[in-house]
Amino acid sequence: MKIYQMEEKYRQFIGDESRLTGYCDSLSFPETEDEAAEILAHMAASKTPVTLQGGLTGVTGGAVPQGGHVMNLSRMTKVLHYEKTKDGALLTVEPGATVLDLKKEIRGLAGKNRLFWPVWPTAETASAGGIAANNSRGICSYHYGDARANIASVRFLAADGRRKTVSAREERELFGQIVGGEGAGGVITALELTLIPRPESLWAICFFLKTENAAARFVEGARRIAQAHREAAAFVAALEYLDGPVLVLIKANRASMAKLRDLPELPADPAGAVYMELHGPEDGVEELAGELLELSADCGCTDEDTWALSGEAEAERLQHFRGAASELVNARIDEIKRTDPAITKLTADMTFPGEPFTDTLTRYRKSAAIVDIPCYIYGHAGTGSLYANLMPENAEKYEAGKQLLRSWARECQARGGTTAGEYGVGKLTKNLLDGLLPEAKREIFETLTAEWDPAGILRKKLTTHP
Amino acid sequence: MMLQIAVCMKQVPALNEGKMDEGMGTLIRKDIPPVINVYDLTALETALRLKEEYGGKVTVFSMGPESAESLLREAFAMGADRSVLLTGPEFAGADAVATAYALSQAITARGPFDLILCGRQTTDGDTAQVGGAIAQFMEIPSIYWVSRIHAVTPASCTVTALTAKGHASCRIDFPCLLTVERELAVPRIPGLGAKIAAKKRQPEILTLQELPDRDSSHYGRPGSGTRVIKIFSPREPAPAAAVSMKGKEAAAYILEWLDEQTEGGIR
Repeated sequence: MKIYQMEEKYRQFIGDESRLTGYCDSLSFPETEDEAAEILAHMAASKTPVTLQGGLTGVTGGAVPQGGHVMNLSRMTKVLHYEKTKDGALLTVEPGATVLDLKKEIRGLAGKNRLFWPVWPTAETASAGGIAANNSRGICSYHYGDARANIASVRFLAADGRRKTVSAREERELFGQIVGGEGAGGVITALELTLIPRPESLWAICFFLKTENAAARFVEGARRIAQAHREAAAFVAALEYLDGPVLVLIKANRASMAKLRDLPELPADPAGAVYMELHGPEDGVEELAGELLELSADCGCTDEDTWALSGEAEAERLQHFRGAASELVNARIDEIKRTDPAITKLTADMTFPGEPFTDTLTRYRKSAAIVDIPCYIYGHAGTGSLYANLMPENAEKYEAGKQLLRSWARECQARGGTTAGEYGVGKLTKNLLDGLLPEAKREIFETLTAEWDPAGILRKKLTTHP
Repeated sequence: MMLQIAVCMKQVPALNEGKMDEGMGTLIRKDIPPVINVYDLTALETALRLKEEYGGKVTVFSMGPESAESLLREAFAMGADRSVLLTGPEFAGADAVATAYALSQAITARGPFDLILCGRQTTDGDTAQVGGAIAQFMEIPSIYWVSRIHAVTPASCTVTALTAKGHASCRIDFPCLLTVERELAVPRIPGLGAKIAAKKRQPEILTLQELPDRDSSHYGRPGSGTRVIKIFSPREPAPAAAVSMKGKEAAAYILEWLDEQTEGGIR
């Protein structure tokens, strides 16, 4: 068992993409489940709190320690098992495998059978364990669903030392708690990923709209088209939105950001962009694309306001365009933090059920304008799960931004929505939305802790209060 | 001015994992999704910009199996006027020189052209020889590694090209061939309407029988003078130990280390 005392060279392990920085007394980097079990037992004996880490790509500070011990799982990257099934294959991997690792492994193992795993978050260094712990979705979740829908089972090492393989089918409730449980109760030490056949054809398309109103109309129309083709052979896999301020960031950083260098100049001054992926047989995809082309023309797009690429490798250029949004918004926060380190990210990761896209967008845009705080919006337009990022430029605006975020959360709760979605609760959201977080999440944290973590070393809470 | 521009393009595996068929001495491309060679996209973008600025027509040439038609439809979607696929079993297994010869024959068959543009290299073979060899076979002047095209007249163009020691500006008379660097132009992405319209267009198919030289022994594997014996990645050097010292102690250490590396030669 190797446990290292905290020192300067481990500084990278006390922060993540939330831009929060914490502190810890010791760290470990287990390479096997046995080693992780030994470390957990050691920490449980001394009731030392443990923070679990994967790829450190989380944006709500879930991996940021507040004292105690950091268990970083990035060295558990082995592929444990691969098995063909009637419909595809099952691939069992350790939790430290990153999105990049997984893509390479799947290509090597399942390439001939043209299989893939449809849960790809935009951060390529995100780890499989982190994806499961947060129940991440990725840009194609509109059709393929979240991590829960695409994992067959997980191997769970409880904080009290018990080990258990939990099947999605046979132990639905416990599986649903662990996947999305943000590391409460124990460590996911292996994941059985459900690989499915790749679509015969894949088109990635960007529509650049001249006004936000036109963009909202396009999204509404695209949702209707997507719904009509939901059960068809060719379907909409991704329906994502990037607003005007995000596009300005992309324009400004296009030449300097490696993943954007292959993109041409964006059309002049778009107020919003919609990224879509169409999957299915080539003819069906083409027909679906034709419907979207007509819709885009009705919303004021010319052909110069669209980009279309086909094939999974070519489509990556546009996936990078969509993926750049979160990186650039985080970089903007870094700039602001340089002038006032107390300012943190203020992101609404909320879903207002059944609400028209126009209304969600208008709420964020208008109320941010009233308090005069720049707001960068992007996210899953298909399901209405948008991320509204407030960028307060000083302490006064930061306070106003926090209040605005809480007012959105209250409205979201009143409408029966979810106030913490894909990004999880972490330390940041828990702090910002104390008292306004989903009750279901609290129940999951408490159930997992009560059942599997009597010493409370992996305890998660929804409140900053003791 | 009506420039007649030919662009050579190739479909390559999206990832070069260096696996080879030892019997054939060729890269294994199966199971890896194909993409258009990124350098060739720059060549096409350059051609389209020249056409937009000076007028003319852009014809894209590719050699490969019929599946390469998707590449040529993508070229149509980007704005190419014509595309030609040189295909047939006679062309299989070609090395850089045999590929260049076949393309030079195809360009001659469909020419004449003022300007032939190629990417600086492909990302599968990485030889960077095909462009120059096409010019050699066609007996026309060529400039490699062009990073800028300044001026075009009906008879010539002036370009900046990278050289081993920096840059050189040169004027070159038409007909000529240029191989282009990626920095020359970021390739456009086709609009959705153009992409759908391109799906309905058919590239022209060109076979051995339509080439000026119909001797099959000059093409493909029989026409190739080279054989790939092995593809491998250079061995990564072992990580060096970091040491920290100052002044004379550091100088003495460095001297001793250099002496070891040169087997005593430094003293």
